[in-house]
This record gives sequence, C-alpha cells and structure tokens, in this order.
Amino acid sequence: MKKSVLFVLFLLVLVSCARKSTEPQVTDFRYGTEGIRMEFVQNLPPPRLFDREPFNVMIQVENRGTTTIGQQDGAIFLSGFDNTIITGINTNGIPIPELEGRGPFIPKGGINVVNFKGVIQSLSGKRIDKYQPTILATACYHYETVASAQVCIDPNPYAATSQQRVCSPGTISPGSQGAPIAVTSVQVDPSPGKTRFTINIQNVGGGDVFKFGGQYLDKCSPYNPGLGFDEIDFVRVADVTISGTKLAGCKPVDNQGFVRLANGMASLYCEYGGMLGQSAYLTPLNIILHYGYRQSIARPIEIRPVA
Amino acid sequence: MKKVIFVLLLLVACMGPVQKKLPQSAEVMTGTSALEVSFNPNSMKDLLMCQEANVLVDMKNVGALDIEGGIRSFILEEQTLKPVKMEEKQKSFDLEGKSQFNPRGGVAQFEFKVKNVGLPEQLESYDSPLILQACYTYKTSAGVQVCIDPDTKNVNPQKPCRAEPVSLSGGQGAPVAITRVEPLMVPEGNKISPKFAVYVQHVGLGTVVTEEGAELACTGGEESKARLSSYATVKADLQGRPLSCTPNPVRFEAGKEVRFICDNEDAKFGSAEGTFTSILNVEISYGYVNTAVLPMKITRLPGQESCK
Repeated sequence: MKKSVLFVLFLLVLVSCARKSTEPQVTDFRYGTEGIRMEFVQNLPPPRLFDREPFNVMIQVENRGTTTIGQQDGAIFLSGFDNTIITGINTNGIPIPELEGRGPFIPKGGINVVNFKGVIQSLSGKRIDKYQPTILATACYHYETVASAQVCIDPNPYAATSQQRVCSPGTISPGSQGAPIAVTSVQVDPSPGKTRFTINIQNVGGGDVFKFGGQYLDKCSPYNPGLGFDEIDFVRVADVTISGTKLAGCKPVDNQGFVRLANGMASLYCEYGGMLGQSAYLTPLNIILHYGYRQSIARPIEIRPVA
Repeated sequence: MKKVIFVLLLLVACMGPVQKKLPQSAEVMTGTSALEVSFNPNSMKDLLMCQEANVLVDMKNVGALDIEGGIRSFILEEQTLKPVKMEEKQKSFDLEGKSQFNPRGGVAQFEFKVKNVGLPEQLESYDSPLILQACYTYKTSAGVQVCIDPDTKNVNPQKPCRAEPVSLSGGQGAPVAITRVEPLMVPEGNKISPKFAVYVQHVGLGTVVTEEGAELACTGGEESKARLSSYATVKADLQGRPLSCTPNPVRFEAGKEVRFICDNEDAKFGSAEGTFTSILNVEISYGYVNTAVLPMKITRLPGQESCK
C-alpha cells in the first residue's frame, strides 16, 4: 500500500516538474481528403413520417478542406421523391452557406446547416401501406487543391566529377492536401539543363469531379440533364510553379487548361529549364488545381397514411 | 469474482448503444385471400332421418377490400335435405375487409337449418353434401413503388433509385396478386415515357369470374356461361394520370402468370423532374367465387319408414 502511494506521489512530482512549452503550436492544415462533408441532422427527416405532415430535412454541412466556399460556389439539392407526394421542395437547390476552409490559424472549417421544408400530401387514395423513397442530398461545389512539395533540382545529374549533393531527385509524396482531389506523388526526372516532373493526381474524395465553371455547376443538379462525358472527370490546372516560375506547357492539358482523369487518376507532365548553378538544390513546387465536385448522401424514409 | 465482473463490464461495453426499432405497423395490403368461408366444426354433420340439423358457417374477409352486396347461396339435394326457411338459402351479405383499424378483417357467423325430408326406401343411410357458394365482386389494389429515371444514359451515377424490376411477394390482400412490375423507360426526344409490364396471377383457392358474373355464379340465369369466364378488367395510374393497359380485360389461366402493359403517351418525364421513386397504382376488378362443402350423412333408424 505504502509503495503504491509513494509511486503516485513520484508521478505527480514528475508531471509538475515537466517543462511547459511556451512556443505557439504551428500545425499543418493541408491534410485530409474531403472538401464538404454532409450529414443528415439526427431525426430530420425521421425514419417514419405520416401523410399530411410537414416534411423537414436538415443537412449539416462542414467544410473539411482548406478552400473557403462562398454562396456562389455551390448548392445542395434534394431529390429521390415524387414531387406530387412531397411538395414544396425547391428543386433549384439551396446555396451552400459561406464556409471558411481550414487555415494556419483556423484548425477547423466552417459548419452550417441547410434546411429543406415541404409538405407530405395525402396517401389515402394511393392504395399503399407505405411509401418508401430514398432521399438523396447532392452537393455540387467548386473546390481547389493547393499542393506543395520540396523537389530536388539537379542541373547536372550525370556529371563525371564526384560532388557532394544536398539532395538527389526522386519521387516525392506530398501527402493529402485537404481537398478531394490530391496530388499523390511527384516524380522528378533530372537531365542536363532540364528537369521533368510527372505529377500524379487522384480523386480521393469518393465523389465525382467535373469541370470548373458556373455552367457546369448548374448541370450538376439532379434536376438537370446532367454532366456529359466531356465534362465529368476533368480538373483545371490553374498553376504549376517552381521557384516562382510558372511552368507553361504541362501536358496533356487542353486549350482551356483541363486535364482528364481516367479511373479517377491523371498524370501531368511538366518541364523546367530555368535551373540555377551547377549543384543540386531543393525548391518548392506548387500545384493549384480547380474543379467542380459532386457528392451525395442518402437516407431511406417511410411515409404511412394516417387513415 | 473480480474477473467475472471485469468480463461482464467488457461485454456490456462491447455491446454498444441499444438501437431503437420503429414500432411495427399492421400491413394491410398483404395476403392472397379475400373471403374465407368454412363450416364451423360444431355444425351437425350426421343426422337421423327426418331430423333437423343446425349448420354454422364462418366467414372471414381477410382481404384488403370491403365486400358489399355479396351473395351466399346453398346448394343441396332438396329431395333429401330442405332448408327450414327457404329465404335463408340465398342471401346477400356485406363484410368489412382489413384496415389499419381492423387489421384482421371482418368476421361473420350465420346459422342455416336444414331438415331431412326422408330417404328412399331401399337406403339405410345416405351421404348428401351441403355446398355453400359465396359470390362477390373484388378488387386487387396495389400501389407499387417504381423508379422513374429519365437518365437512361446513366450520366449521373449517384441516383436515389434505378428503374429495375420490382418483385412483389405475399400478395396485396386479394386472391389475384400482382407478382412483379417491370418498368421500362422509353426515350422520346429529351424525355422518357415510362411503360410498365405488370405480371399478375390468380393465387387464391376460389374461382375468378367477370365482375358481372359474380352475381350470376350464385343465382344462375341465362347467358351465364360467357360471364363466368376468368376475365378481369385492369386500371392503372401514375401521379394521378391514367395509363392505358393492354390487353384489357386480362384472362387468367390456372397457375399461370398473366402480363399486361400500361403506358400513357402524354406522361413524359425529363431531367427537370430528376430520378425519383413514385407510386404506380394498379387496380384489377373481377368477380370471385368461394366454395365450401359439408359432407352430411343421414341415417335411417330401424323401423323408420317416412317423415310426417
């Protein structure tokens, strides 16, 4: 008994003597594979409803990524029900409220709710015990991926002289970037006078990626003809810079700057020729991608006639 | 002891939160019967010559529709057995079907008295069946959940539902059951026009007749043969818009599934409506006949010659 009391006291002394860190904690904020996360608020809608009742659906929207979303950047749509049975739901969707993305001093993105209100019409003439639609909430929004990686530039990789190098070019994994489209790896391929980069991009958010632009955002709605095969699985390469120099002519990019994803993946080939000096050095490579993103959540409900 | 408590605590913790289940509601539109007719076991089956017998009949409407203006009639060998009250031989009846407030359906019991009027001289005993027929008009009504999907090219893979065949098991509270519905989204320009192949089958124990034949089956009469064929008329609507169905009427064959196709050329759905679950209402109207048989045995007492 005495021994255990002494041991606890010893631990307390140790804890109290521990040096407290006074330096502010700087945390990385570009992590994660999500943009917007949607969730049905508990019991809205409830699993069982009755006809001639109000129909309320509340969706909690959280920005889990690093891009701030404005009112013009997206909307949430509710679909899956017969609009002669559940009336009053706006098929034009509800704009996603402004949600701040995660930042260096904002450890958590913005959270808000979107509310759909309708009315359930009488089911008494429908000759059914229950109507069981699946309510689908679809979010369509613009998002951005900012990926940054330290790459090794070696202006003279195959020089005959033996020289001490600070780095050697290879493949770098920048990790996740707080967005549903991620730069998964950058392959550095040095050659005399030029360094080539293979930038691998992947859709890691579980949703659909489509071309960036207002007209595509409108087409994303479940009440529109839908996005065509020439509009879906495209990412716009907004910027690729190295040491502040823009890498022009990355391939395969169309004249509007879009690169196509196949099976959720794409590779971008860029070339850099403005190397400094003769020795290898580390420099940041920045990649900015713009795109539209669509994701859905579903909830089955049951509506029963009162009489 | 401590170990046991620890293990129990661990088990309780691993069980997780208790999930709340929704209360069960009565399913009314299920089952493959309408009226169930049977002779009560307390009915007199064996009677002596010249004796009066009390026969009790139980009727249950286990279907989802109320029976109104049904007819029940007894068939008996009147040279042996005669109803005590002639007006009781054929009577009309009403019987409530299943509903949310009466999930078992209406039940009725009635009495029928018969009297033996004698046996031919050479017979010591005689078996004479008492047959009860119940004839009525009935409807199979079903609201089938179907998926209306204007996106036939599957441009949007994230859909709340898909236009796939719907199997319906267990019936709809009627002897004619809708067994499956196959929705077909026919592209017409930028829109689709849905067609539905509806499969139905007679799964009850009675006989399907035409609606007009229901009364005739119990009362008899002229031209009854054609009307006693197994035909039923069908009606369907989607979002309140009537669909036209072919063939109509449909003919039932024993043990076979029958198909009819319903559509409405004016009912078109485009992308503006989105993909959604709707209700296809199908109504099949027909006449129905149930039969029950009570084997009765009449025995002559030694020395008994005739009834006075």
